Amino acid sequence: MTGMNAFIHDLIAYSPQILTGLKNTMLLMGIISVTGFFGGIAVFYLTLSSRKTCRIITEKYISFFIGTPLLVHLFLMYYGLPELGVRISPLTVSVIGFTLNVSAYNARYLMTAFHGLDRMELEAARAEGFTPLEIFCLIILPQTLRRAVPSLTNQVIQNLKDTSVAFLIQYNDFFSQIQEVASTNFEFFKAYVTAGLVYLALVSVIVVLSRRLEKRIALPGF
Amino acid sequence: MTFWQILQVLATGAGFTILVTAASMSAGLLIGLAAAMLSRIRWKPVQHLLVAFTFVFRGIPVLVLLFIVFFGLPSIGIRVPPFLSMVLTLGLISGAYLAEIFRGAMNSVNLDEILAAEAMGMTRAQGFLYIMLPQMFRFSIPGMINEFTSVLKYTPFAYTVGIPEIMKQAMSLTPMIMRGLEVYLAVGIIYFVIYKLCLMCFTALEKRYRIPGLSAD
Repeated sequence: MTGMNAFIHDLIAYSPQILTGLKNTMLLMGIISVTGFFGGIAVFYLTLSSRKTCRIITEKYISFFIGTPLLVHLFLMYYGLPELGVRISPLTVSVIGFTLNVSAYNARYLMTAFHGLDRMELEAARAEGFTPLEIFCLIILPQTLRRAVPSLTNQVIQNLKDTSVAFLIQYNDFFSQIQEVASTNFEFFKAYVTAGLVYLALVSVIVVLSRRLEKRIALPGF
Repeated sequence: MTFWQILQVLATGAGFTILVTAASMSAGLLIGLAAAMLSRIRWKPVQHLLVAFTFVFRGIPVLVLLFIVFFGLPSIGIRVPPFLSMVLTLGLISGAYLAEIFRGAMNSVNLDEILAAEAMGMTRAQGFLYIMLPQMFRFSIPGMINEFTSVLKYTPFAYTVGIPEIMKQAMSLTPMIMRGLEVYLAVGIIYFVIYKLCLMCFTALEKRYRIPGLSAD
């Protein structure tokens, strides 16, 4: 048990660093969840465009970002762009890379929800003289968002887990700080299990919050 | 070095990427199937265990689990080779997701059919093997494709444990030729090609075994 005590002592000694890391993780997760949400709506809007080329390009965008690893996009920007003289910070790289990715996924979820929509409503709205933008904002969006809530909140959980990737491009997130601790006391197993437990705790918090959100926005009989 | 040559160098790692993906996906299918079958046992301890299993492996980041297995376990005396660490990590995580997919698919199978099979004199095992499983697999195809895509997209992490797959090749090539932009663009293209090829195989398989009128919804 002395080993465990020593380890907890180390954790406390490094707590300012670890807390900064945790703050950075939450910051990245918060930013990309918001930008990914609005990005997803924008991409979803483009998939409904009446122009064929626009729809094809959007579909290609979604398919490319769903089919290639996030790490490649991050490395492309972090190690590739400096050759063009563009040097951006790990946080900016992560925000751009994650936003492009999460938007593609969120757009997919919204498209799935849209397929379940009653087409008659859209026709009725058009007959009533709604403009296409009005139909999107007032009829399509409220219904698809409500239907997609479970997928969208799942994506937030995914975002939290995926932020751990950012340390590979030198972003000082929670996981990178835990590694610092592990490399000083060589307690790799305890350190990484601690990291895992913290992530599980954070995931649980998001799950509880999203259940509440689902209950709150549920419409009876919808 | 032309872009074509870069692609050729990187493609030498594609074999490992495909190997890791295939092995992890097989492990995930086995674990997921086992967990889904166990979930039919109405015994409290088993149910609690399964809930804990899905919670842990769906909640933990891939990178964290990989580091626990590869860098963590040796410090308590268990040494796991790189390839096995990667397959174990991705297998457990995709297994947890697949278990949920299979469970949902099993619930979509009409229970009257199982009842009819038993009335016809089939044993429970036969009913499961010949009536339940074939339908369950068909129902879970969309979910399995999704899960396969995530497994493929998590394989670049294999470079952190030293497996010479595409990403590792890219990282050793970049400092040599100082053209990261092209190298990582090539990596993206190779991954996308692998993804598209596999997707085509899945669609062909799905078409081959499709039963008209039987679909997930």
